[in-house]
Amino acid sequence: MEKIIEAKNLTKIYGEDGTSVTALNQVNLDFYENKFTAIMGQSGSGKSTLLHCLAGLDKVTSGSIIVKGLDLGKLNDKELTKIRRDSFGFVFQAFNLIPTLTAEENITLPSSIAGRKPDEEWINQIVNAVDIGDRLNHRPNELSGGQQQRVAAARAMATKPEVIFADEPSGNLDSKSSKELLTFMKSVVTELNQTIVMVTHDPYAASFAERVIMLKDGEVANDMEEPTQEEIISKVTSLSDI
Amino acid sequence: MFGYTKRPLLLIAWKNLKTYPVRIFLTTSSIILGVSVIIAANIFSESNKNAFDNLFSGVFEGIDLVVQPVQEDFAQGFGDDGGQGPISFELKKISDKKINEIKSIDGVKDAWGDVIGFAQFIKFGPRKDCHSFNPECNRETILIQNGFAPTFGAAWDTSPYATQWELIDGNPPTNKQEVVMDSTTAEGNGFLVGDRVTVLAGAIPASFTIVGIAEFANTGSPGGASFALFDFNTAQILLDSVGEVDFINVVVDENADINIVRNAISNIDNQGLEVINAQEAAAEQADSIKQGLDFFNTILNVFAGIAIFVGAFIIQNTFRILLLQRTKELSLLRALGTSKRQVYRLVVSESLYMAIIGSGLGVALGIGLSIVVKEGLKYFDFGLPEGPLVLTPNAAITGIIIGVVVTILSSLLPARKASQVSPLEAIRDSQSTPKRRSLFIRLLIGSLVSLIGLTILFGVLYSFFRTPSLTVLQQVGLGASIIFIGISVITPSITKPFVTIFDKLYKSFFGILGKLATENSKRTPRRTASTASALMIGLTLISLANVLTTSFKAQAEKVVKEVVLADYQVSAAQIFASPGIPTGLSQELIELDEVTDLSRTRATVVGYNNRPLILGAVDKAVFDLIKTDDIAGSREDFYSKDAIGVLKFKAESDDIALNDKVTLTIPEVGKKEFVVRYIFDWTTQPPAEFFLLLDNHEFFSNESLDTELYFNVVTKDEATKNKLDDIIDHYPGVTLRDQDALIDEANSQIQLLLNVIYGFLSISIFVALFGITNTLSLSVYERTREIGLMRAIGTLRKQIRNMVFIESSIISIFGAILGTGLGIFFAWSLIQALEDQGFTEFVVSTQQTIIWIGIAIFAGIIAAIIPAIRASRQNILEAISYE
Ligand SMILES: Nc1ncnc2c1ncn2[C@@H]1O[C@H](COP(=O)(O)OP(=O)(O)O)[C@@H](O)[C@H]1O
Ligand SMILES: [Mg+2]
Repeated sequence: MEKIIEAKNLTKIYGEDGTSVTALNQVNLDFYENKFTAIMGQSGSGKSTLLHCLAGLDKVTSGSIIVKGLDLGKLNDKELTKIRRDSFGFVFQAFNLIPTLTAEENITLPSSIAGRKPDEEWINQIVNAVDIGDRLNHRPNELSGGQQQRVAAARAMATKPEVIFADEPSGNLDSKSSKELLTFMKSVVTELNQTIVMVTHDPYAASFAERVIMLKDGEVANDMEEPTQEEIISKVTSLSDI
Repeated sequence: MFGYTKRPLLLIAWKNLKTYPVRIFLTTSSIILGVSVIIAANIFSESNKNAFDNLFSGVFEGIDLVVQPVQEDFAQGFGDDGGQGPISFELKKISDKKINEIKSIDGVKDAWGDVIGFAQFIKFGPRKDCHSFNPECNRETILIQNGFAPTFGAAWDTSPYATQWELIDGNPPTNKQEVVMDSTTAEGNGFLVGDRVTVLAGAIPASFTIVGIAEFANTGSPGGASFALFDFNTAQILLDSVGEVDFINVVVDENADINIVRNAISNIDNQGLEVINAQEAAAEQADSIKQGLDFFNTILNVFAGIAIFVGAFIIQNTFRILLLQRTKELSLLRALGTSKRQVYRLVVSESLYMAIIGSGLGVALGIGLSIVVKEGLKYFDFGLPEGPLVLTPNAAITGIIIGVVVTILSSLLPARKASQVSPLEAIRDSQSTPKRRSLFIRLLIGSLVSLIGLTILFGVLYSFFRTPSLTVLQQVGLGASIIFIGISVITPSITKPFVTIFDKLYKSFFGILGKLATENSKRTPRRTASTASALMIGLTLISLANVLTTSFKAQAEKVVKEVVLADYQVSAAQIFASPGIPTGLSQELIELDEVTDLSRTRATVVGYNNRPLILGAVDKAVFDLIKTDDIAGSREDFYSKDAIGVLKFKAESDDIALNDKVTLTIPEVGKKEFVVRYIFDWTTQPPAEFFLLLDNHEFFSNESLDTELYFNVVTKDEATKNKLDDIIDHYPGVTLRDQDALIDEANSQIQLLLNVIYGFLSISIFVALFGITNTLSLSVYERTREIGLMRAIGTLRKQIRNMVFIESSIISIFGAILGTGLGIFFAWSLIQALEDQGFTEFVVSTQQTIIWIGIAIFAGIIAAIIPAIRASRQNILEAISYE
């Protein structure tokens, strides 16, 4: 299995000396190709910060992030933006779609801004998989919350990125939509050979992943391969007890 | 103890403003500009009035009574600046013997005669059209004129009571080789005491020594006019007043009764002399000139009005924008228990502060602007009288009041809207959806208004509807204004369809960024439309001016080509400056072998039915050199001694038929009867209304000046032209032109006017730019999340900037196209309305139109720079975090 992201001694401190918050503290992690990884932890444990740093949306205070041999810390805004556009896909908790564009235009947006023709066949494949074929010409406000998130997921993988980052993608969904989305994400990894790094605080969502990393106060508290939902819940409770 | 403020809202309002200086600037920018134009317009006209006041009070300073000749009734309609211009007004003068008679009257302290007439200084400089490295280039005679001010010659008054002119250097003139120059002219042209200078007085230029430089009533010269002051006898000779004076100034003893003295003087010659009170006369003359200036003032105020009108649009827009950005803050105030009314008052008091600050700055900027305008006009030789800039307290107060009132009124609607935010808004993220229904009502009302405007406009053009008591032009103007208002009401409803036309084009040009930009401008059609409207006003006026000038140019070209059949025309160069063409020139030209037909035109003022009328005189050749149309009678009959020719329009208006007898009062000859033998149409601007054959009448052939000359040459080539130039060069102020030169001349005059108009109109575009900046800033602000999301998924900063630029270009194209279209349409209507007056040409310059639309788009992009940069620098994480 090939290593796709390598994070070394990641430290992220917010704010000035007096009121500073250490969101990440000396985190060392490797992420592998074709794997569904979940990052878990309580609110404020640094999950989102970690995701933002890994995805080149935020700068680390110290340490390095190597993506396929490139050190993100050494890139300027333009280079980082191009990496996000060409190598990463994103699904956020909300506000994932541009309201003035149709579902289809949203899905092809990353290729459009790169000035590339989207891969029709590949897009058909994912559109079918997320089951929004009949809603392609609708605008986001005409779609349900679940549909919106599935369109976002389709967009995230439309350019066949190296990694898809998702921050609480099912956080706003009811349990049925949530299950549909997560099932889709899992199938994307197993069947379409994609790589996903997902932040969640929900053990149920995390149970879809092949690897679960637990954060506590900005440090890695646990790193589990193929845990069951019960194992996750017990770890979560034991961590919060301390 | 906690502090307690009695007026918390005023305090909050003030604190809000202090915290956001940029906000103040954005909102006040348009108030500042609008007020500054009002102030500048006012300063400008006040200063001119002031300069003329000084001029006239200076003229009569220290003088009690002025004795002047009673003029023929008909001459009075022309005012009393006789002797100016190519048409000589033969005004009566007073015998200089009367001066001593008046002096001997009891109670007269002193009396002296004044002679005043046309005279102009001449200097030599390189030709304007040649480069200094060209050795062929002659030194050209340059007629000195301070802007458009007149040029005078006058007698140097030696009376101890004559205090108007004061020497600042040198001595008074004592003989016919000496002259005193006014200090404005001396300073402006670098003349010093002891220099030689050529003066054109009467018809012959002559050389003089400058023996002194004088100031008039402590300013350089009255109203910037140039003055050549000669000794009394020289002035009489040069200014065509031998043995005569134009008027006599009288100073009355302190203890004498001015009215008794006045009657005593009148009694010398009750019929021929008129005695007036000098101070009353000064006030009267100043008033009549000021009325003339009011026209200029009106134009400036119209421009100020436009600036304020555009400003009101923008203030309202800006308030809306700023308040939307503060929705959360306001709803928090509401949640804390502030009432709707209080929020309303909070916003209005903020606008009050801004209005005061903005209007104050506007006054300051207006002062600066008036200096710039004054200097600018001077640079383009468009100068008005010299004098200090005057800002009256009234003007300042008016400017501030207009600024404050417009600002507050513009803030009322946005304030009402802001006061209606619900206390829950603070926690909600709402998206405004345009109300379709009201847009439809807008469309209906706007169309109805436009339809009324169209009816009024076409009604007069195709004569099916006339509004009572309006002239054709006024009705067209009224129709156009109503159409303009109608279109302004419609614009929000047509924003979507308009932008939709551009959808495909933008998408294929700019891809997804184009699509996003077009969608964004459709999202808030009202805002897009009102921003575009501000630009539309400016572009309407600019394209109106533009099309009118191209059409007028085409008209001028057509007229010149059709009407001037002669190879060459000779005319006096400047409107105010030159007295005409010395007759020596026509003599020299006739003697040339190269010159074939030549016609002279002369003109004088005569009385007809007790009204002044211009009587012209021409040579027979004129009918081959200028296009004329026979209406009745024949040219041959016109050549007889008692014959008179009458222009068609005059014959119609005065009901004159062929073989009628007309009696004219001719100053040199007295009453004389003529028979109408020829009625004809002079197809260009006619030099007179009645015509005689020049050689038939001695009073015409003895005149020393021609108005115009037309002639043909054997072969029109370079050699002939050079020969002609050699002769003409000896006559300063006289210009030789062929057809092309005449066309160029007309065009450059029209162009100069256009440039001045452009200058003023650019201000309205400038104001509109602030509107675009504000609208886009809001648009960007509202899309914080969207832009953040786009950046997160890989949109480059440059692409975000381009997206804002594209959106701006849509707004400016919308405004520019609407404005240009309206302007062209209005220009067409005006020209249609002018058809009766011979206007047939309607020419739209595609190039100019495209250039101005281009400028508008470019301006729109400049206005988008700040919002674009702001958008591209937006923090991504702030935009996508959800907590
Ligand atoms: N922009 C920021 N400025 C200051 N502190 C921040 C910022 N973003 C996050 N934090 C702090 O960093 C810590 C980690 O936050 P975050 O990564 O958002 O946690 P999680 O996503 O696990 O809830 C928290 O204590 C949070 O308050
Ligand atoms: Mg988080």
